[in-house]
Amino acid sequence: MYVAFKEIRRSLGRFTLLSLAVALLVLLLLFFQAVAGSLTSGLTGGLESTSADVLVYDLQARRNPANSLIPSSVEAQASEVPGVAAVSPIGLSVFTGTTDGKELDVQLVGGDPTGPSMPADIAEGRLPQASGEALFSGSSFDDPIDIGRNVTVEGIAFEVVGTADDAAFNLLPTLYVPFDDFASASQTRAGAPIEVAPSLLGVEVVDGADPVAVAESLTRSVNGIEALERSAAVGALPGVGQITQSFNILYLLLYIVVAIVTGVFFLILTVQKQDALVLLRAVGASSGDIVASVLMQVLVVVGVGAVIGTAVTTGLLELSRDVLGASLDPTTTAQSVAAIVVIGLLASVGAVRRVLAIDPVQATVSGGI
Amino acid sequence: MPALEMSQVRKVYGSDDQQVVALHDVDLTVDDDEMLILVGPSGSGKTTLLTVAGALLRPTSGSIKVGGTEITDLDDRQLARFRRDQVGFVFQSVNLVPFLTARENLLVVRQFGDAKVDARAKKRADQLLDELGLGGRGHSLPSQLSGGQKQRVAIGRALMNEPPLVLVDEPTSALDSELGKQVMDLLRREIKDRGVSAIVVTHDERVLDYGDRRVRIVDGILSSAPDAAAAGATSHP
Repeated sequence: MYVAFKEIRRSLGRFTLLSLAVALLVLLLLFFQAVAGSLTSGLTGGLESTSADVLVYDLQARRNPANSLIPSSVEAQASEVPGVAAVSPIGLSVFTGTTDGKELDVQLVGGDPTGPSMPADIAEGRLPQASGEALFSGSSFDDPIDIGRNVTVEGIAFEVVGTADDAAFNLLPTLYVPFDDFASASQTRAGAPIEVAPSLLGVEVVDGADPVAVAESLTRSVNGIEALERSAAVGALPGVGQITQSFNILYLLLYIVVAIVTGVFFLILTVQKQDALVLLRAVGASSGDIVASVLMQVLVVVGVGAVIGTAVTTGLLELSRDVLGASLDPTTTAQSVAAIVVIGLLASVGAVRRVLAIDPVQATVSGGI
Repeated sequence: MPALEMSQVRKVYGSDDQQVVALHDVDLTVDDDEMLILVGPSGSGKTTLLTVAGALLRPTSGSIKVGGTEITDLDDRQLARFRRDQVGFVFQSVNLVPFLTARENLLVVRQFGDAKVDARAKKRADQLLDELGLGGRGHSLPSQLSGGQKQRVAIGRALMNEPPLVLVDEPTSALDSELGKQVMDLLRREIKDRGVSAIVVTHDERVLDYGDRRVRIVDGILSSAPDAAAAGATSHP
């Protein structure tokens, strides 16, 4: 370790450059992850945070909530299926609303405030209990609408009585309202007293029941529907898979670049100091001593780069909070940093192999230093 | 107990009809406090003998004892520890670690395995540098030292772990006459003052008189040099 740290100290410039390169790659990786997290959360938050264990779709909708309309008879049939504890309609539609004189697109979610159609966790305030009350959840790209403010949708003034985190649909400001209010808004927009069918049904399963099994049972038992356990429903949302896949390719590329940059750097470094390593082997260092020294340098350089990258990303996301509204997830960040460090260590295999191939007898024939 | 005992040591390079015998069943004993000069032409096996004695190279056959320990049975890790603790090397080229200062080049041999740099080690390094006339250059990098100064640092490193045996390969080959003399004077004084044994390999005529005994090697066969004192070196080709 002595040699490792002394070399870093004497060659601070080149090690700093590599650390900065790693920091830049970590910054890109974490930044992409934060933005991707915001994007997907804005799309999937509504389903991810729902209190429903199972979601029921119209079979023809092919798991797309926007295409799904559930006939009124289905709710009663679903209630009879074994394992189902409660069923609630969920109406989904985008409206134009106004708040403080400003127009904005609003995702309205109509449901039974006491049933499995509302977010499981409330950040502030309470669930709507009466007509004209709403629970607000915004995506990270929206300005929040605080408790006590009103949003008017199709002539109905909704007062925000509570907020929930990460429970938005379609990257839009989302208002959870009683289903009757949702129906009224839909009818006002249509200009006629049409029958308003829910887009989905939210199902709560009985204690101890497996939501996947209940979903399969619902699909088999009720004609014309497809029921999905919550996480399966989230994964099936349109666009989520494509966004996740696109970002995963970016992450993969960044991990590959980290491996190449780190691996090539330490391989070149090892070749450049080959004579010194031969000398150290000749005067008593074991292969393990030298390998440990190389790995320690990798750990320090990549570790410092990861810390710098994480710190800069945190700062940048804080500065751009009003624009992106994205932030680092501690678990994802820790996993990514750990992956970068492990990849850096694995990438140094070329340098390690070179070290292991050193024969100390070369000290008697090398050109000297 | 002799510092070094080599018995019937044979070293063969290559295989089958490509074989080259570098050492022919060499018998060599170096006593405590003895400085042996090993001379011979290029390709005679001088360096091979030195590397085999210093556990840098395994012999094809034969026995090598350093301080009574048979080293041909040791595994790689044990050999590394042996080289660290029992042998001091001064190589032909001025071999220093370029990113370590003169003082750190001495201390580095205390960094491997279970050894450690403690206050005693630092004191010894400073003392050695003083004795080698490098008291003011301890914090200089090798690139800031002259050829003679580098060679003196290498001598200091060889003595740092207080080994019973020091192996020196062509110590004056890269130095001019004056520097070469200075280095050999220093080397002899340091080795004799510490009572350690040494083998100095050379083909430099100026070095021949610095040893207690002189041994010649030609084609891997040892013989006592004409003006050498008592015997002690024979080969069985």
